[in-house]
Amino acid sequence: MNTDDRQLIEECLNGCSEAFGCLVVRYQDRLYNTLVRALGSADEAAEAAQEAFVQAFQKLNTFRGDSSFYSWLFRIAMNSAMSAKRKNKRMTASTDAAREQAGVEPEDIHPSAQPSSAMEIREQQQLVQNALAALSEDFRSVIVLKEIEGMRYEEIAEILECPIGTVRSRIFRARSELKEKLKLLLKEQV
Amino acid sequence: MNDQEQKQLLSAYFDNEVTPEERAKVEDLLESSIDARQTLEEISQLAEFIRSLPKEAAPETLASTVMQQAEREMSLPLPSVANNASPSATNSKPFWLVWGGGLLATVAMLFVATRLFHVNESENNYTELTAMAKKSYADVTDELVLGKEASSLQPVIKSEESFGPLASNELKDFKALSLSNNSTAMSRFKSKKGGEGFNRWARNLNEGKESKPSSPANFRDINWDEVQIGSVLIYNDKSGGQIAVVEVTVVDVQKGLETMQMLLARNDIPKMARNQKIGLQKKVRRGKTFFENNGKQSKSKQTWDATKENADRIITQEEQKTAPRHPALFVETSKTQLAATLTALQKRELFIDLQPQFAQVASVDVKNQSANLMFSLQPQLKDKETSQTEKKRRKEIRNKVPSKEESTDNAPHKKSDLQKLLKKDAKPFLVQRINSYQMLVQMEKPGRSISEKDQNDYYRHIKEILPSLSDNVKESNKKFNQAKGQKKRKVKKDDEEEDDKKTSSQKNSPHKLYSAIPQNGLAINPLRRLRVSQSVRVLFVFSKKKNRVNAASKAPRK
Repeated sequence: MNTDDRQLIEECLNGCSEAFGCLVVRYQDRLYNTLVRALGSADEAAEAAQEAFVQAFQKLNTFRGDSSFYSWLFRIAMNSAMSAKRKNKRMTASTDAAREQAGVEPEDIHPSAQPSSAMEIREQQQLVQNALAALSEDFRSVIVLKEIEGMRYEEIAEILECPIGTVRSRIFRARSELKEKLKLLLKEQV
Repeated sequence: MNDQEQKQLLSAYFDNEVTPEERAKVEDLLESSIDARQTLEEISQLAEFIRSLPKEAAPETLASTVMQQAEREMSLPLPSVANNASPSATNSKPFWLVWGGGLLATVAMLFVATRLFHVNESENNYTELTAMAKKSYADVTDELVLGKEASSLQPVIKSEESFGPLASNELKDFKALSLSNNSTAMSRFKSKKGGEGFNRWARNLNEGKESKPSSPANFRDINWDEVQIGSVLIYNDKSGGQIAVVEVTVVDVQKGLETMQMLLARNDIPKMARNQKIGLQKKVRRGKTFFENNGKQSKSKQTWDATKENADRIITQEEQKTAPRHPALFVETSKTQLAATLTALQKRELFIDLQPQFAQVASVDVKNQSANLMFSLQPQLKDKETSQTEKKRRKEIRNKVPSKEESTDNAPHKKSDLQKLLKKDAKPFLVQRINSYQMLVQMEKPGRSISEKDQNDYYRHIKEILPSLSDNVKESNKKFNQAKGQKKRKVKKDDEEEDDKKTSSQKNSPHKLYSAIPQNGLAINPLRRLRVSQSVRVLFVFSKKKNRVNAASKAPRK
């Protein structure tokens, strides 16, 4: 664990709330960004991040320091998001994802339809985001942790509390699905 | 191995998560199969697509909401350290060590200052002082280590004049020390040799020796080579006819920045987003663009005021190289929010030197949260005559005052001739460089809407708080305003519509009024007077400027 994190945690446990504030500031953007991609919804991500930080504060005395603070925090966030979903029976996919499921419009990515390179990039990002959002929760989580967080399989397995083999298999299947959804984009790149 | 297995293996191979045997298999496959190579290429492209997604910043209210909840939790019984908690050490470099790139940006310091006690200068008895400081040190250190404020103690907002400069290059050898391990830090600090004056005094205090130091050190006597993050420093500070023994804990700048962000969040002051189109950052970028163009004046009509000022002066390559780099936060906020934040800062005693200053942002490295800053009056110093006069004045001061050794031998300490002389020759802060932890304040569209009543109030306020405003200060301000008037006339060509308003309000510019405030620790009150602006930009600066000291604050040496 980062020594600076450990120090802040110790200070927090000694009653200094500002130390926890520092941890929040340090990790809020990273956590939120990953959650947005993993959950496919900004609202859910914000809710999960907030809940994760509060729970982390409450459970800080149970944090053993075996893993990094961020891994621990992310696990809390994911668990919190999952239980909230189960509780509220929310739809997994976002509106964007639903739109995506209806099919990608080929003309959107045709070069002639793209007035500028900036526009092209934005559209590409939108397509990728839609494709990600259309993945199942399990697949989306692993691919986001792998590609956005750059985590090792072992770390992902620890966070998602599943075997490494499952992580490997899910990443492969997530990639296969993404490949199907972004077939046109991949062809363009080739 | 079927097709699916092959592809799964390729996926794991791409992630470098295969055994040596699997690697050999995959590499054989890649040599022989075009499809395998194609699959690997697609995996690579997919990864690139996902990584290229824009980074989403957390909602501005997240930190404040979390902290509000956390503070509510804090009012309940606190979580205690688990008995079996055994945080593992890490080999990784602390984040703040790699942050910022440059040495100054990474290991600049903040101080947590606590006034231990005050005595009248006439009662200046160092044996007594030492005994009191020793007692206070023992009483207060634990609280500081725990990060708590000594609630009964008043915050100390010190002026640069009383603290003296810090040379950033003297901070080179700082090593990370855990604040929570303050005693270790102190012992390391003490164990280094060569601790004269302050160092010896601090060592004696801690070792319990009843010694009478010949000269309790002041801030400028601290040997910064021996200071490390985590060090607890004790020194004398003389101001306002009183002597204060001040204890400061050195903390690292990253932690300071994070604390600052937390405080800002708590006061609902948003951090400037990278891609925010309106606000300081964009304007700062213009400043940067200008800076990179090395003095070419911008033709944009929407040029930022400070950028215009920048455009009127020539920033040389040398200046660019020697310009200080300061880790900084950029915020744009209302005066009420600002005042609340400043009050919180004051309460937390994060700064020994909390002073509003004017500076131009010459260039900014947003990624590293650092900025190069130029002071408004700097163009005057470029003038040969002014420059020579300044050099002459400094030389005279050096010749007049005794050496450091001589001055420290004069015991007991009184308000020395040196200090009197320096005070007499003190210049308004606009001619000084950033050489301490300062807060830079710039007003949005200065002077646009200032009312006569506000002006009068402001002048009255300044007269009240600064009865001893020296002629020297006034004269310098006059020069500054004249120079500024010249700049404004140049700017007229660029922006004719705004020019009339600016010219008419120039005389009454809050900048001018504000610039009349010398460095005497009056940080909060002036800010509260900034009623005329819609918003106030604040640049929090956490570092010290290398070798840029003014005559008023530098202890002259032979």
